Amino acid sequence: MSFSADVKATLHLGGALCKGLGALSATDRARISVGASIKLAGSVNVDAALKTSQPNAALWDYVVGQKQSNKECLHWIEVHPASGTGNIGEMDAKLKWLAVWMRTTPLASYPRQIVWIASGKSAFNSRHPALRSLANRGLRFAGGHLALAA
Amino acid sequence: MKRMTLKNIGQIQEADLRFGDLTVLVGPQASGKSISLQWLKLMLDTGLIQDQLHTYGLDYGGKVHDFLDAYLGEGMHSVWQADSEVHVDGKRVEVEKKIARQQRNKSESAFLIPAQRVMTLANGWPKPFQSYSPGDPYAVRSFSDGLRMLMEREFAGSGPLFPQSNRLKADYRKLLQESVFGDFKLTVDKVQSQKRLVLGAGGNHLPYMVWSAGQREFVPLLLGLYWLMPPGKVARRGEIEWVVIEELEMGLHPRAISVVLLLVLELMSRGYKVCLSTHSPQVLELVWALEALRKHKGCADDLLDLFEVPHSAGLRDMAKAAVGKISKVYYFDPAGTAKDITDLDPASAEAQEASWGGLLEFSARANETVAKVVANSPEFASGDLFAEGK
Repeated sequence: MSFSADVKATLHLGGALCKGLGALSATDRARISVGASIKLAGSVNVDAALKTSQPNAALWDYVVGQKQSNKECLHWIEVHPASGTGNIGEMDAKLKWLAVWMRTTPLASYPRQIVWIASGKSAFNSRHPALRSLANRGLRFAGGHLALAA
Repeated sequence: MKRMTLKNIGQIQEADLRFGDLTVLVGPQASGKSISLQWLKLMLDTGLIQDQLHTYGLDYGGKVHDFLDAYLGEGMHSVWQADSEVHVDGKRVEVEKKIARQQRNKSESAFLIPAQRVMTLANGWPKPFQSYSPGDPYAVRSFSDGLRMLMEREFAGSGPLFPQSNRLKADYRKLLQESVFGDFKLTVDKVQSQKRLVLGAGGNHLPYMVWSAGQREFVPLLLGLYWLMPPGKVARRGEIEWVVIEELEMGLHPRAISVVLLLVLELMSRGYKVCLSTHSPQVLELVWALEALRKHKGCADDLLDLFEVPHSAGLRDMAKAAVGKISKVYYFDPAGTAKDITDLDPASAEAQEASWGGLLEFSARANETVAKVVANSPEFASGDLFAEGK
């Protein structure tokens, strides 16, 4: 089992694997810092890869693979506005879609974190009950920046 | 004063503070918040402080180090070094010269409610200035003496100190009753001939030492607020323009903190400039909301909704005055600098602004931990978490 092999084995993602954070737009890439000791296994723009097959779905943005000593883990990343309560419902819909879709792929077997990065100013701080509710469903709000560390 | 800059004073390398109507200082212990607030008071009230120290027999001989030991407290002379500087509104203050010569203005411009306020009522009655040790900070001694004068001059008669119909608006009294005092009334009784503050209910009088921690912390604060909000139509006390409160949240439940924050807004609506130091994210939540209301033209009703209080005429007047006020927030870091984090944007690329000076760090980590555990759980994998009705 490897991230690259399992991406290739996933319907519609086969040709979408990029090196490092290459699947992310330059703007979104700037929101992520990668520690010096971190080795990435590649990234996929999930939204772009599935847009044609699922045009009306609340698609998730990206998955990034990270190599660890004896396994790999995945960061499921959505860059999305956090400017109002409407965004909470949107993120919840995306999270539901991700949970259902992920189960149909070999990528479900990896350790993971699921992260929302705010694409602009945030109307929420980490004490907001809606963010706590999303955490209870597996989603972490990272504010405007995500640091990938060992 | 609109701006004060401190350089190389104690742990502070440089703190350039531009004051708003409300200015809040956050940061870990011993990062320079309290020192900054005491320097603010010193720069505004030098003459008064010098005069009070002389009156009570504290002779610092015109020397800055001896003065600081008397003013900041024993051993604190070391905060002033050869390269220390203070600038007020861009102009350097000759601190040594200022301290060496008695300054003329002896009226009080800044009223400071210190973090150690609980000690002022340790025996159930405010202690006079001279009953403290010479090494105790001036802020504590002066505040305590102010409370003593308040008690002697304005509460010499009978009747409770709280609730009292000519002190604080009825809305505030009701909220304080609910969140701090319950059925108790704050009154004065005597043991032999010694007066003391007690909380009384149903004929039972509880002395200071058996009050709840929050009540012990709050009563000195309440008396300070009484001093700042005289009865009748007078908006402010004497020539006081600044109110400095250290850690207003001490010992209080978040509901009681909300009421104290309302009273802070009341102070601002009366024209006081307020400076706070805090470890409470709730205080920053108020600043966050105030700044959003100001920038996006929110109204008094929005501000009252934040506190879930009645939209009575009195509170609306207060909120109307408060809603346009300018706030500033500074983060004091352990390295000795103060950073303006007023935007308080949780999505800021600046870690200290995003974490509100560290006050949100733990809640963010709690969210992260919970989210990670849930995302890797069988319930997530099976879809149970997202089943209908969840």
